Amino acid sequence: MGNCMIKIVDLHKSFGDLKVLKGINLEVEKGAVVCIIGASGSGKSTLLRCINYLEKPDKGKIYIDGELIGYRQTKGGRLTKARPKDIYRLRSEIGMVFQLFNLWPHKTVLGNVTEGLIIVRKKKKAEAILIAEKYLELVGLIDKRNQYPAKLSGGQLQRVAIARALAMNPKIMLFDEATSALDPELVGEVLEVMEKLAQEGMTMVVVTHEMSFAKHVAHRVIFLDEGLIAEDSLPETIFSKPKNPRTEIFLSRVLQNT
Amino acid sequence: MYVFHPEILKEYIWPLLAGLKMTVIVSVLSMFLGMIAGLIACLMKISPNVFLRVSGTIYIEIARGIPNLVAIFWLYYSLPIITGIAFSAFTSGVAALSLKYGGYIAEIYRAGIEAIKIGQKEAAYSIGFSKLQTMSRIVIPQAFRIAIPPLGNVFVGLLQNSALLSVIGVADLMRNAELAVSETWRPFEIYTAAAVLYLTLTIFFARSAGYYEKRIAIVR
Repeated sequence: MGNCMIKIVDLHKSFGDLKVLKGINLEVEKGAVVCIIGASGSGKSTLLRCINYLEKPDKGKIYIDGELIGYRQTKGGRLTKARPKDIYRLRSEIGMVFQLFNLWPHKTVLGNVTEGLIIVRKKKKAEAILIAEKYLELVGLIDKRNQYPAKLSGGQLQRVAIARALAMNPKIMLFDEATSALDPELVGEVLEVMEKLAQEGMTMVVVTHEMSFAKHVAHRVIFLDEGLIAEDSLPETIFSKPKNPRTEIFLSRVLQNT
Repeated sequence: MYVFHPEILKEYIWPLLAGLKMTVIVSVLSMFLGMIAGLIACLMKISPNVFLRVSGTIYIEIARGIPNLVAIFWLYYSLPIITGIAFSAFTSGVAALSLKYGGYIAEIYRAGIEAIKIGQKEAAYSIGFSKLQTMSRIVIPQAFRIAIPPLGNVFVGLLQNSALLSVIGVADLMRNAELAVSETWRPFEIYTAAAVLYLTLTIFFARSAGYYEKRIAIVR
């Protein structure tokens, strides 16, 4: 599989009667930044959440860095359900940033970042702090290390959340509408950090409504429509002459509003 | 005409204070054990395992549905018959209160746990926490903070209801007050003193809970 970091084959997911994903096939190479756009309810977040198994797919296969997730091979060579600890390990190698930040309010900024290092990576506290400080420096929030989340702005919260995910040294970063809950003037500081990550060669899958980010930072833009990939193009293609008429309708509607 | 003799309290204050000490001991012990029983029952009730869930629910319903006094008498008289072992009034009394209040406390914990938003757990899962680690490091510490004010209320109630243990002969404040009254026939003076002591105790503990709540509050 070589250079392929994420490979998704015929992924299906329903919630009750609602079919959200209807057969997604997607490959993301190492170091690629892929933006997923689409109307709300098109399955963007669900697709992202299947990648780190926060949602269990109904059908289809997902390979992360060559490893099939959610399954393991028995001694007889049959595929069976993965052990919980394999799923926990997999998740620890995939960072995720949420729309509503989800920082832990009972822990300081530093505590939020060191928690995974201490509990999951079993690092000593002093070592965890050193690593955490490095990433807080990266997102420009080292001076807030001893603050509690309640004292931070939305943009700062999201940067801490990014530092928390990065501290685990993930292979992939998933962004689930990371700037959608932010005041317009705070969006820039988060996008700046994401752009920095992209330049450093992080593999990123970004669900976003920020078309300018998709246009300028992404290597590929995927348009998701009713649970299927309707278009998978280079950003310069999708924004100037989209191949699918539905993409064109969606983009004209979105770009009109900005 | 009732003639007041408050000076008899000089003599009887010591048994009353000894009773007060016993009241504090049985209450604190019952609360502590009730918090453990409550945590276990709560985790059972929210468990995905049907057997645990049903057992937890049955326990909580029984604990909350039996009057305190019935529970105290029942354990005191029935437990030796069932087990063949005699328990002291103290042991069966504390057991009755712990089990009774464990039922209330379980529901307080559950409300606290359910108040934690799903995103808090997902953030933990997304960096590789197991379910147990998520529960113990992220959910329970936050839920406990939410639970402190209602736990304080429950404890103040427990402190007052511990007076019921006097009926099976636990030498608590109520029991020692009754004994003093039967010796002196001075119910007004002695029960007033007992009431003041109970009140002092409940105010003290309610204030302490309030202080503790502020001290470990999540910064908002």
